[in-house]
Parts: sequence; structure tokens; C-alpha cells
Amino acid sequence: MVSLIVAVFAPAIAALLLLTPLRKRPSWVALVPGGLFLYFLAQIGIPSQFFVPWVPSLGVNLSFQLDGLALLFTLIITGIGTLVLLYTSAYFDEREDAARFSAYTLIFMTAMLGIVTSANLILIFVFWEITSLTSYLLIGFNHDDEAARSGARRALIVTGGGGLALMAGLLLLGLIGGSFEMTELLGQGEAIRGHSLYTPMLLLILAGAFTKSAQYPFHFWLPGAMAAPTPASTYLHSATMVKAGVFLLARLSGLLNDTPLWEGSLLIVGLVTFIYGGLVALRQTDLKAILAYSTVSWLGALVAVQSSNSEYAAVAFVVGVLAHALYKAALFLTAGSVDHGVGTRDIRQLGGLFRVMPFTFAGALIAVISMAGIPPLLGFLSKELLKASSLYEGQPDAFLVIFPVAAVIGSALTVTVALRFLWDTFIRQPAADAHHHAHEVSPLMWIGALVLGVLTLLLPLTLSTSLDPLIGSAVDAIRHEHSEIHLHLFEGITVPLIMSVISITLGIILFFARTRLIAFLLRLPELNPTVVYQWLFYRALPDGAAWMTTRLQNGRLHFYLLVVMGSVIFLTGALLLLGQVNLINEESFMNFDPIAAVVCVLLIAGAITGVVVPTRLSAIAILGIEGALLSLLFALFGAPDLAFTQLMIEAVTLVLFVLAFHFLPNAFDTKLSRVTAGIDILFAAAAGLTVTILILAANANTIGESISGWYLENAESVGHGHNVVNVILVDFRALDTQGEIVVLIIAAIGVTALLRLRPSDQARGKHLTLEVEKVILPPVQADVSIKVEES
Amino acid sequence: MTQSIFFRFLARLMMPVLILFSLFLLLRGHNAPGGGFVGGLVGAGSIVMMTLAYGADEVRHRLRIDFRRAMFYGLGIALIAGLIGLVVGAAFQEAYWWTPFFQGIGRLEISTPLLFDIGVYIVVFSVTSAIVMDMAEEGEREDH
Repeated sequence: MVSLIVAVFAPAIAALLLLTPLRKRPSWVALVPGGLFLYFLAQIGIPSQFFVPWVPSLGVNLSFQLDGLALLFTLIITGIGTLVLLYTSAYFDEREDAARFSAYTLIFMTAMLGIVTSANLILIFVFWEITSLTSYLLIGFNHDDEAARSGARRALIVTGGGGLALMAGLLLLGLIGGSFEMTELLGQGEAIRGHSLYTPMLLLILAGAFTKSAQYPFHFWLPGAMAAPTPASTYLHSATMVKAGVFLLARLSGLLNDTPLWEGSLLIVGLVTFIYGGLVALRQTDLKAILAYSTVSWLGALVAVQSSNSEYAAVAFVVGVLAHALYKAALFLTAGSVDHGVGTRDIRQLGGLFRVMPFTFAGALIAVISMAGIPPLLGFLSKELLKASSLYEGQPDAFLVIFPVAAVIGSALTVTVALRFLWDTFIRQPAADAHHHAHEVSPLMWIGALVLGVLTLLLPLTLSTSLDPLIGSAVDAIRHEHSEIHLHLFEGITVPLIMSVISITLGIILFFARTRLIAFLLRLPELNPTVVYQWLFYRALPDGAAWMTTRLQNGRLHFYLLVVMGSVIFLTGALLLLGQVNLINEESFMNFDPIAAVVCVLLIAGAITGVVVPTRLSAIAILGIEGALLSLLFALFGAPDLAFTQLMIEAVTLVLFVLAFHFLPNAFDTKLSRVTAGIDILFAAAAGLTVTILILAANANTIGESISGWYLENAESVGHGHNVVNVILVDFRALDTQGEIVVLIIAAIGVTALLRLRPSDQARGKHLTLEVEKVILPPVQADVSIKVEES
Repeated sequence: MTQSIFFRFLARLMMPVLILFSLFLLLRGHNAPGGGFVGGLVGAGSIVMMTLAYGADEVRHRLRIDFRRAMFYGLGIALIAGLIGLVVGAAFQEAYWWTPFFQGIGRLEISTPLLFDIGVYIVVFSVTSAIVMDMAEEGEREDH
């Protein structure tokens, strides 16, 4: 269906609208996701597909599918997206900022819709990377702020690195399954799981999913991402992007799950993250950091439940995603409103805001009750299902106890975090002189949280009509088989219910003991992998690069030549030795040409003379003669084009040499030591020998059929030209030529920049890159008049 | 830069000849030795001679061509030649030919490969000239 792909790309097109005068009123773009939300709502129960070949020879296609799982996510993406965009228009003081922010957000929305609706592995990866990039732009939105910049860079490095692993994993998966199309891979679960590359492939894919979904120990980018404006934190770093990882697990679970490796890694990583996130959330004092760590925690739970392939697990996952998206987005919006209305997000300085900000408080209240998992809200259902899935389905024996216990403890911590958020911000008596400037925010800013809160309240009350079909089709899409789903808030006194009661009670107890609990937690080591990251990217990498640069790029041309020649000698020589190729065969000397032989002798004599002459000018002259002789050789062997070009090149090179040597004394006045000279002679001789052997070998060994025949035959009929060389250059292999002229231009820019950069400039702190910019930018700016936006 | 009257005269004499010859090479390249690359080099040869005779500043002043800008135009023309194939046909760089007949002139062969070759000509011409002129300018500055 064409409408599907239109829907996916509509937000990106709307982002373009923000370049028009529409940018003066950016709130209007919220209509786009709003309309899309209604569109996707109308698609419930109607699976649709869209397929257009993109790079069919590589198996990459624009292949989209809207199944139950995708539909649930598209509703979350467009629904919360609408509220966030409305919020955005009031959040920013400057309209320009709001427009720029909305544009990034809309591009992200297309990428996110793309991830969930793609039915081609490569396509998923492309959209996946776009989300990382837009996330980078959004985190670094306030680029004047050092924290925003480093947070953005950190997020990009971690999720981008995970993206690389994911790409490798997806390529392996496609290789094993013989296709990148989900529909064609589906039947091959058994074969994929049994393949010898299954383990590396799974680990790579998990690395991608775990970094994106902020699992321990890769979670540390998410709290750093809180430097983003709050609407971005709400949308990307709680409701949608961080769920891309767990979404991918769900998408691929039918192909990959049901192995000890899958179960073990998901359970261990998920549960560790679940508990760790809850504990660390309590240590935080910044509202957004608290929410970020509790998001990390719940993402851990969403990973852990997917360890089994049971129906319970799938239902728990789907409801967990929906419930969390609703209440956590509401809480993030609340945190942003508090920041906006009071001017601080430090929980120690807040309190009593329910009087000042009643509407914001109402939204937060419902969301917190849902987060704590108190009936009859959606959060309760979600926590209940988590416990049910921890109990019932066949998991490795070792986890029979651990999973349920961890589920209870993790949920209890969530309760404590939620209650602390609500109590310390809105209810408890504030410090006497605190925030008398506090005020309620504009309706656009509190309406979002309230709508989400009401939804989280209403949905469970209308389970059979609203949620059952949605959840049911999503579960079907995950498990690839039909199951009847009927959700109930109350199923009698069951074990999960008892567990829920325990965890809520425990959570409330911990809440009352929170002062002592937090003090205790603060004494524990944080086990934060940021230290490793800092060391790797701020110490090891730059230091290593500096070390390598000083060793390899020491500025001495003589050394560069030795390195280049040495590598050629070593690599080519080793290959020739290993390959044991023939050097001479009966045809080697059949085309012996006496005139060419004479030219060759002259060439050799010239080369020797060039080395021994006393002045630079004479050396240059001899080089020129050598070039002319070489072009004579080309002409003798019937390549007039090559000969002519070579001659011209020689002429220009000669001039360049003369101009360059202008800066040097004419006589070679430096005396080389015996050792240096010996090394030079050795390298030169070895290089000459290697090339000689290479040419002999190339002549004596035919590997495959020569392609020249094809060119000769087709130059006239296909290329309409008699000069085969030219037809190859401008037609058959024009892409190569295109690349070469780009290289030429780069070289010209490099030469100009180098010439402008005098040795004395380096001391003054001039940089090559700056010079390159100066060379390139003026013509580009003048000609194309690109507006370099401040970003 | 030289003060030799003879060389200066020769450079001025040769410049139009070389440029015409380079255009000739460019246009005949598809069927006989020549083409955009070597044509561009020959054309740049004229600039090189002028630079050696009169100095980079003088040449820059008289020609009023910014080669650093011109090389991007060349690249643009080559790209456009490639894009025509993508838009009209199936693939980037796919060749298209247009052979109109003119009374008194004969049949012309205009094609995207020719357009591409013109782009290559301009790039090679400009890059070579730009590098040589920059080097020469640097040398002159050193002398002062």
C-alpha cells in the first residue's frame, strides 16, 4: 500500500516545511503526526505491505510491512510525537529554536517509523543509524553548553558503535538466511539457530540492541543524553528511540530465540540492568536523571521478559512497552514543566508544587500511580504480567528463583523511585524561601502529561475493546502464530498478584526509609563504566593517535619514502614468494623489440646518472629526460594516448619541480652517512627487484581472461568511438574518471593549503584544516550561497 | 618569472596556439588520440608558460579566471553529464547521444560522454594551473 510509505516519510517532508515561513508558527507541524496517529489507528487489524526494489542486486529493498507489532509502535511514535511537538512550541522561548528542534524531531520520527515498519534488514539498519544521528543533533541542541556537546558525542559513540556491531550482525544473519527480507527469513529459524555462525551473529546483534536500549554496561550514554531539551528526552530517550533495541529483539526473536545463549544473555543483562537502574535512580537528585535511570531499569525488564518465547512473555513485553511509554513520557514532560515553571530540576530544592502547578501535578499523579504499578492503572497490568512471565514459562532452572525474586525487587525499587519523585517534587513542605517565582506552565505544556495520564487510566478500564485487539495482533506478530489474548485486571488471588502486593509494600517501606537507603546507596561504589569510556576516548585514543602520528608522520620525506617502499617490497615480495609464480615462460621474450631495448638501456643509464649528479637542477633535468624516454616506450608499444599524456605530465612535473626546488639550495650539500646511504641503496635495489619480478610474473602468468578484447570489440558499437582509451575513460569506466577528478581537486586544495601554512605559522597555532576550509569555502559560498546554519 | 623578452614573446605567441590545440585534442579525443585529460594538460601548459614568463600575479590579474573556482565548475559539469544518464535512463553515467544534421556543416555528434570529457578538461586544466600558479606565487613571495 502506497499510503504506508507516504505515512513513514510524511514527517520528514513536514520537516522541510519548517524551512518555509511556516517556521514562524512551528506548533502547526504537530498536525502531521496527529493525522498519522489517526491513520495508523484506522489500520488496526489491517496488515499492509509496500515493496519497491532499491538495490535488488544486493537484496536491499524498500520493503515495508505494517503488522501488529509495527502498528503498536507507530501509534506510540505518532501519538506521543504529537503531544511532544505541541509541548515543544511552548517549551522554547525562541521560535527559531522551536522550529529547528521540531525539524530534527520530525526527521527522527520518520526514521523511527522506518525502523518499526521495515521488513528488510538493511533498511532497518539505515533507519536505525538515522535515529542515532538525529539523537546526536537533539542532545547537542544547546551546543553552547559543554555538557550537551559531550553528552551528544557520548551517545553517538556508544549507539553508533553498537550500530556498527548491529550492521555486522544483520549482514551475517542475511548471509546465513540467504536473504535480507524478513518474509523470506521467517521460515528458517531452525537453520539459523543451527548455523555455526549463530553465536557471533547473535552477540553482534545483541550488542546493537543493548547499546541502543541502554543496557548495563552500555547504559551510561542515556543519563548523559539528559542534557537534551526535555521534549527530546521525553520522546527519544524514554518513549521511542531507546525502545528500538527491545523492538529489534522482538522483531528478530522468532528467528533467534529459544537457545541457551539467547535466554542466558537476555535474562542476565536484563535483570542486572533492571535492578541497577532502580538503585542508581535513587541516588540521583536531578529529576531528569532520576527518570533516565528508571527508564534504564524498565528497559532491562523489557529485555529480560523476552528471554523466553512464551505467550506470557510476549504479552508482558507489549503491554510493558505501551504502559512505560505512556507514564514515562508524562513524567518527563512533567519534569520539563517543573524546570520551566520553577527554574530548577534539583529534587532537593523542590516541594509543595501541587498548589502552584495543579494541572502539572494532576498529570504527574496519575503517571506515578501507573509507574508504581498500583491498580487499576495500565502500569499495574504491566507489572503483573512481568511477574507472571517470570514465573510460568520454561526457563533455565538456574533462573527459576532468580527471575521472580529480581522481578519483585526491581518493581519495589520502581515504586520507591516513583513515590519519591511525586512526594519530593509536589507534596512535601518546601524549604521556606524556595521558589516564590514558581508558576503554572502554559496549557500546551501540561495538556500532554494529562492526556497520557488519562489514557493510562482509561485503557485498562476498557480492556476488551481497546487493548485486546491491539495487544493481540502485536503478540501474534512477535510469535508468528495466532493466540487469543484476553487481558484482565483481576484474575483472582494468584501468585503474581501476591508478588505485586509484596513489591508494592516493600516499595512503600523503602520509600519511608528512603533517607537512610539513599545514604547507604551513596556509600556503595557506583560501578559506572563512564570511567572506562573516558579513559578510552579521552586518554587512550588521543594518546595512541598522537604516538602513532609522531612515529609515522615525523615530517621527513626520506622516512616516508622508505616506509612506502618498504611496505611495497615486503607485501608484494611476500605474496610473490608465497604464490610461487612462474617468472618466465616460453612467450616471455617472443616480442623482443631491439629499439625498445635501446630505450631501456638509456633509461637505466639515466637513472644511475640521476643519482650521482651533484646539483638538484641537473637531477631534475635527468628526471625529465627519463619521462620523455618512458613516453617513447609507450609510443613504441602502440599507446599514443598514453605517450602523449605522459609527455605532458613530464613537462608540468618538471616545472613544478623547478618551482619547488626554488626553496632549496641547488647543490646536494648534505653528506649522508655510510649507514644511511647503505640503507637507501638496499631499499632502492629491493624496490627495483620487486617491480622487475612483478612485471615478469604478470607477463608469464595469465589469470582469467583479459578484458581488453571486450573493450576493443565494443568501443565502436556501444561507445560510438574509435579511440578505445577515451571510450573507456569517459564512458565504460567513467565512474573511475569521476573519482579521479575529485582526487585531483582534493590534491589542488591540499597543495594550496600546505603552501599557505608556513613553518612559522605552526608556531602561531594555524592549522591545516583551517587553511583547507579557507581554500574551499569562499568559492562554495559565493557560488551556491549555501546558508551555513549555526549548528 | 623571467625578464627574457624572447621567452615572454614566445609564451604570448604560444598561448592561443596551445589553447586551440587543447580544444582540438578535447574534441577529437573520442576517435583519435586526445581527450579531456591530455587536452586539459596542454591547455594548462599555456598557463604554465605564461606564469613562468610573467609571474603568477600578472597572469592572475590579466586572465581574471579563478582556477580554484573553475575546477568546481568542471566537476559540476562532469556530474551533470553523469546525472543525465540517471534521470533519462537507468543508471548514473549511462551514455546518451544526440546527432543532429546541419546543412553545410554535416552531422554533429553531441553526447553525454563529450560533456563529461569537457568537465574532465576543465578540472585538469584548472587544477594544474592552480597548483603551478600557487607554487610560483609562493616562490615570488620568498624572493621579496
